[in-house]
Amino acid sequence: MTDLWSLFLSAAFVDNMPLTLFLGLCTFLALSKRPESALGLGIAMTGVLGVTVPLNWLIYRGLLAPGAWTWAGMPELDLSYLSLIAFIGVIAATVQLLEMLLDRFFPAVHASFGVFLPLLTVQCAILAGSLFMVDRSYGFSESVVFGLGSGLGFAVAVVMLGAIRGRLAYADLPAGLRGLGIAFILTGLMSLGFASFAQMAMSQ
Amino acid sequence: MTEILLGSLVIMGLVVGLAMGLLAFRSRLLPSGDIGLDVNDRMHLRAKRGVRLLDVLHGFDIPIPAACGGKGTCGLCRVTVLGDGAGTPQATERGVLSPRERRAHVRLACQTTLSGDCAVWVPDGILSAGSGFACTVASARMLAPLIREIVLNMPDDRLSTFRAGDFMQITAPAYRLDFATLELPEPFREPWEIAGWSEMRVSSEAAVTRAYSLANRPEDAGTAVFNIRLAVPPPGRETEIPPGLVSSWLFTVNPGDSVTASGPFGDFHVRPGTREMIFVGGGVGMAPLRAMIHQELAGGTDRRIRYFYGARAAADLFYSEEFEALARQHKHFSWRPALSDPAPGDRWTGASGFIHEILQAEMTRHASPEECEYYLCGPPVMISAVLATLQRLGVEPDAIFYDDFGA
Amino acid sequence: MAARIDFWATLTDPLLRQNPVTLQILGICSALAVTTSLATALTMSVSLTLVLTLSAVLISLIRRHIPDTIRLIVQIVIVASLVIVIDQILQAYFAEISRALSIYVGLITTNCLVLGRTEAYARHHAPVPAAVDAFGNGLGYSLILLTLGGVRELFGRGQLFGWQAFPLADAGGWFTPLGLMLLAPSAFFLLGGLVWAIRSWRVEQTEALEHVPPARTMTVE
Repeated sequence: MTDLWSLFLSAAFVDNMPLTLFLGLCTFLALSKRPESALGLGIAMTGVLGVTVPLNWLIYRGLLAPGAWTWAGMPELDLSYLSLIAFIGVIAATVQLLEMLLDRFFPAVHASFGVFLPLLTVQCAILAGSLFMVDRSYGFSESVVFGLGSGLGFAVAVVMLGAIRGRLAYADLPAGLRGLGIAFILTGLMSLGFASFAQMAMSQ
Repeated sequence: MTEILLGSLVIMGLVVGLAMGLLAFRSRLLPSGDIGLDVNDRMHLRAKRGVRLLDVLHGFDIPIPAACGGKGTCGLCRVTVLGDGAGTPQATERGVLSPRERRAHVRLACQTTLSGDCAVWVPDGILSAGSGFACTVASARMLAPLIREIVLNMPDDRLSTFRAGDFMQITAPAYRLDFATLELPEPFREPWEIAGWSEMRVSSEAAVTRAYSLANRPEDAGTAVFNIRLAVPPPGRETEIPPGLVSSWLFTVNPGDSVTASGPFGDFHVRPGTREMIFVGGGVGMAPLRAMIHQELAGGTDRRIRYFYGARAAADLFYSEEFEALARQHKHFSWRPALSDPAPGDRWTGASGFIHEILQAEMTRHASPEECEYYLCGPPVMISAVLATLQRLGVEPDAIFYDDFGA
Repeated sequence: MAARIDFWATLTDPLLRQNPVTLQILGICSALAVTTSLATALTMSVSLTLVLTLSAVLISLIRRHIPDTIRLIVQIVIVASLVIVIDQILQAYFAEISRALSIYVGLITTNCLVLGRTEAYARHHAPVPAAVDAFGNGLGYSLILLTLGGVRELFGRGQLFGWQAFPLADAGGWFTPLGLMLLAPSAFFLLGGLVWAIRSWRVEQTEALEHVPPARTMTVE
């Protein structure tokens, strides 16, 4: 249990997707101009990561991993190189399914951040979640925790950046730094802050 | 070999399985079938779920104006929608509609996707206008390199409701055009050659409708006068962006041809009162302002009227003699044309500069610019520059009326 | 009509004037993570440029046959297949770099730059201009990646491509490595500074103010 908890914390803070692993930066920067849209993106990310990582774990273990076909008499078969295509397919389908479910049962939620869902199909952080799961050979429960943790970490980071940038809209910045330039520097500063989590984990 | 086969099978199985699963869920989750739509409590329409309100209304011959072609920028397709089926306003609508309009359930028909039953209210004039009527072209002439004046003969029962500032919708059928075949009068041939407009080609597969302001003077009763500017693509992008579908077609019509139009519609009108009126126009923003000025002067108004009109060079300036004559005739009317980029051969002695600069120069000398009413019509860039100038002059927004022809 | 497309402009525009990374925020996800050393940055640049160009050509070839509704899926599948090939090649011949790049090669699949170019350009153009455009964008991306990688490796370790450019203080030289350069924040700072530099030089890329300050009250007369 404590292992899972520490995995959750490390996925959310130490290995924060946008700030320390540079994942999902395109949407991270594009949608953090306002806190509201940042929150929507964060929630969508948590939901999609929490679903796709365990789902891809099942697909990978059941169909693609070396030895998955032992029961069919082909223990040496290794289809793991197909995981990229399979993962992308699963992610695209999940995103579409989530969108339909939300539209049907929670129209208000769908209206407020449904627009971000289709974007997440081609989001590096989502795919990276599944790839890390394979790379680090997580078990099923670990993959659930890892998915939720990284999603939450992304949400925290993007909401914080959104809040800061909302304030900066009125700041008198040098022209060349306006928008993207200052967003990078802010992200760098936040990343410095998150780097201290890594120190905490080490000193434990 | 088995590996290749099995690998392909796995991927295919996965993709097919996911697609089937999605489709199954979709049919379970999203109810299909038609939805009901009440229009003005009088008409009851049935439409497919998930289509745009604008398309439904157009499909039932309710000619909601849409100058921008359904991109959500012109704001002409405002309708009132009640019912859950219309969803919540999109981000595009929030830019166009005021908070008061949004509270009153006003939506842009082109941005509203129908997912359930709802009730719609459109202006009564539009509902009775029908799908448009056929007019014949009375005359057509080039006014400037890209501007053509087209006069349509109206059917007898039309135009009785015309007010200066109104617009009409013109529908272009499917057509193909090679601009090289266009016959241009001599003085305009050279700018066309230089800009390479003669090499453009355009084709349109379906009927397209756009809105154009009327430029009628009182003596034009029984006809509809339009100033049509050919919407050419920005320089250097001729291969990517086609020229305007309806304006290109209108450059091909000749006297005697038939044109389908509907209207007139509009809410850009002169407000009654006694305040001084300032008109600011650019390009084909001429049309509604010309109609308003003529209507006011012919009505014997004693309000002071100033007309600022901006063009690029002398070739782009049209109706100039007409307004000079009006200014000579009426002491309280003044005509202030300005060229932003006079050509060397223009022998231009009038004002040079952008029209908002000329406006600012004259109005800062005015005793009380905030006491005047402002009517603006022109390209969006001009409108925003003039609005900024007026703000600096201390003019309240409710004294400014404008139409940026939805570009 | 300008039927002849200006190949030179298509190729060189994305280098600075229309750089995909600094102007359009495309493809930075991977751009930052692999820039701790020049070798990984170079591998990533080459892989991405290859995938980008090949996918642009392939999609441009079949552009008239893809139904509009499923075009995104088709594009993703093509890109993913190309990435798998590149990944397998790297694993086979450059095992060490492949390990250093970890999952980032796989993430080329979802690199917004690749999909962005196929969606925006290759889908509407013939194979040759599409390839030129993709190659130009790949070069623009590589330029940023190599600049960042060079700076970070030089100041972080005193090395260039693993060759000791600055003698280290530990080994009797004068250079003390800046540990920060190898950490994540420095990548953001450097890229932010780079964007600033490019936009100060190319003023037209500056972003518009989101809120226009109220006009100053003008005294008339």
